[in-house]
Amino acid sequence: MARIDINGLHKEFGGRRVLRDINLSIAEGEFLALVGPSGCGKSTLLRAIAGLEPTSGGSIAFDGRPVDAAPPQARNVAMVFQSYALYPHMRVRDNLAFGLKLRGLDPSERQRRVADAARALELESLLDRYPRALSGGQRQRVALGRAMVREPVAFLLDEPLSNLDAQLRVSTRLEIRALQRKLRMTMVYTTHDQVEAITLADRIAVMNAGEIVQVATPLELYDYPANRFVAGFIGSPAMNFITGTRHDGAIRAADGGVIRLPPHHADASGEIVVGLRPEHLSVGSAPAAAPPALAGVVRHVENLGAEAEIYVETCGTRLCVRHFGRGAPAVGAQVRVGYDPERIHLFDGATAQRIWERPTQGQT
Amino acid sequence: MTAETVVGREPLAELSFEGGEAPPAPAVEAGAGARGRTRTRQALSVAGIGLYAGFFLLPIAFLVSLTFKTRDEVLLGRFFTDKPTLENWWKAFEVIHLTAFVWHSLLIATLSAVLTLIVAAPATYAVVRLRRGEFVGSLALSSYIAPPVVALLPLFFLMRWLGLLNSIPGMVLLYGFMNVPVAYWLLAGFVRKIPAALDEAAWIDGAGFIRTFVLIDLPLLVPGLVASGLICLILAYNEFLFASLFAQDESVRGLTVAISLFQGDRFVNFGQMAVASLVGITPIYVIALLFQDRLIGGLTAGGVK
Repeated sequence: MARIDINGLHKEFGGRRVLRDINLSIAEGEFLALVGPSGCGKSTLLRAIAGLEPTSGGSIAFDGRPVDAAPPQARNVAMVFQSYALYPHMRVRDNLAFGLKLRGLDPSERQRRVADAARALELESLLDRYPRALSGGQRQRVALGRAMVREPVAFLLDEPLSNLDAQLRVSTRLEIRALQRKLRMTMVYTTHDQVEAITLADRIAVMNAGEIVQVATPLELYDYPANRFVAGFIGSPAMNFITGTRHDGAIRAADGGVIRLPPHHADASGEIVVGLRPEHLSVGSAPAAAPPALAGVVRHVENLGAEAEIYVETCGTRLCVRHFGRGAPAVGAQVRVGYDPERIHLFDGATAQRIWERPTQGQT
Repeated sequence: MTAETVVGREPLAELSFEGGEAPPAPAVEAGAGARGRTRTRQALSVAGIGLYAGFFLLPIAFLVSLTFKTRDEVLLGRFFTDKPTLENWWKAFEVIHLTAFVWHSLLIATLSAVLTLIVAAPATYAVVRLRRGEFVGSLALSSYIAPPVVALLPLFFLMRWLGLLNSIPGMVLLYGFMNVPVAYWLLAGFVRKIPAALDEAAWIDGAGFIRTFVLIDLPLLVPGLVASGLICLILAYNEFLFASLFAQDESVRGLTVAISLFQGDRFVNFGQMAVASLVGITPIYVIALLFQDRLIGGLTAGGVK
């Protein structure tokens, strides 16, 4: 396994900037997820690491050794494709052994490695089948196995779970993570599913329009999104945004709603976007004394069993509130949406960048 | 089966890598009235197909009837004959070396089709998949626009200079290269249908471009190679213009030239000509029938997704 360093990587294609100034270091044994909406450049970046995508500038190094001039054959990475890309005319066994054969491993070693991978992925009974006789989940495991049998410097996975059904996706997710931990693989994993990224990765690089917007651990991304894009992308249901302007110690929204600011946001000014996570809001009917609240009307309720998503119209927008347990208010009810000023996020209205908290006295 | 029908069948319809959606099941119709309508519809479609088939089979049937007629009867232009005769059949084989000519045609056509594929398969892969020298593809196709007769004289002098006139290798080379644009044009579709991810997976597995082509793409191209090879074989087998000039000698003469030579000084021997034509088209139809399954084979189903 290797460390991967990407420096100033960019790619222009047909006058469009597909990747711009990518700087990223992936530690040995680290699981890094590249996440972003489709077309953000995450797959292009992954393919650039594999050597499948020519770049316009910058450099990629494995363990400090530049590989920019190396074709994919010489980079010794393993890759799992979104479509799995199993060789349709070869049995599972030969699919797994293909790379080993090409690298000139002797047959006994080849057999041992194929058997090991087959055991780890529960493919033993499928070794003599052709890919067309496998289910989606089995094909996915063969694709993983083909990457595992080799001893690559890194594993690159391009949306490997997107073709599986929801249940299989969750169980395969767990398996991939367990495998990665056990074998201490350096893994780069693209997905457009932020839940997948949060549950799997040591660190997440959020991409948008060819740029890396923020690289951080899943909890850091959740707690301190660097800008409005990350804030809206990470977390489900998505963060609520209210636009307003600063009026001594509070934000005044378009319709006159007032959001109180915590003391460490004392220097925010101008047009400001307030971010409120649905799980940090609460609804109540009585104007409770303690938490500050916004008055609104319930427009829609989605019951999910363990919780309900309540959509409340207030401050000129519709806020989503996660309500745990039963007793969600009815549609049309006048409610007060309670919030915790300590847990609000502020973004600059013009630049969409986070307005970072200034530690108040007594805090460290 | 002609070249057109082979192409028109879309031999790779089942090769869809996306696992295309199944056509909607026909609604179950209830009641005797509906069943009666279905039957009428069936009868109508059978009649339609029969008419369509008859349209294409009529010339063949006419050819068959010609072979059993005497020379005088041919001139009457009737379809049926009162006194069928087998004379044309034994005369055709006795007077001219029909079997030898068919053999020459088959040999030249088969070898040239193989040569065409040897050149066209890697070339198509390089142009379509690796995107190398894409203008070569267009160039090759554009050469096919001009009428072949334009090339007649230069080719004649070239082949004479190379000592390839009236030789099997000469005709194999000529047809082999001549049909490369056609094969490129046919194979391009087949190459495009192989997902690029398969090549990329092989590269990542450590295979170079040539090994990827040979070990991954070539096996998946087999249905395309068979289809394109068959069409090139048919084109070479049916070619007349170049053969009439470059392969007149009896040692290399093929079927098309042989048939044309039935036209004597004073009259045309239609009966024997019909026999030669029938015998001549038989091998090509047999080959097309034999390989028909390969044309439709779903070898690559399931590799992706």
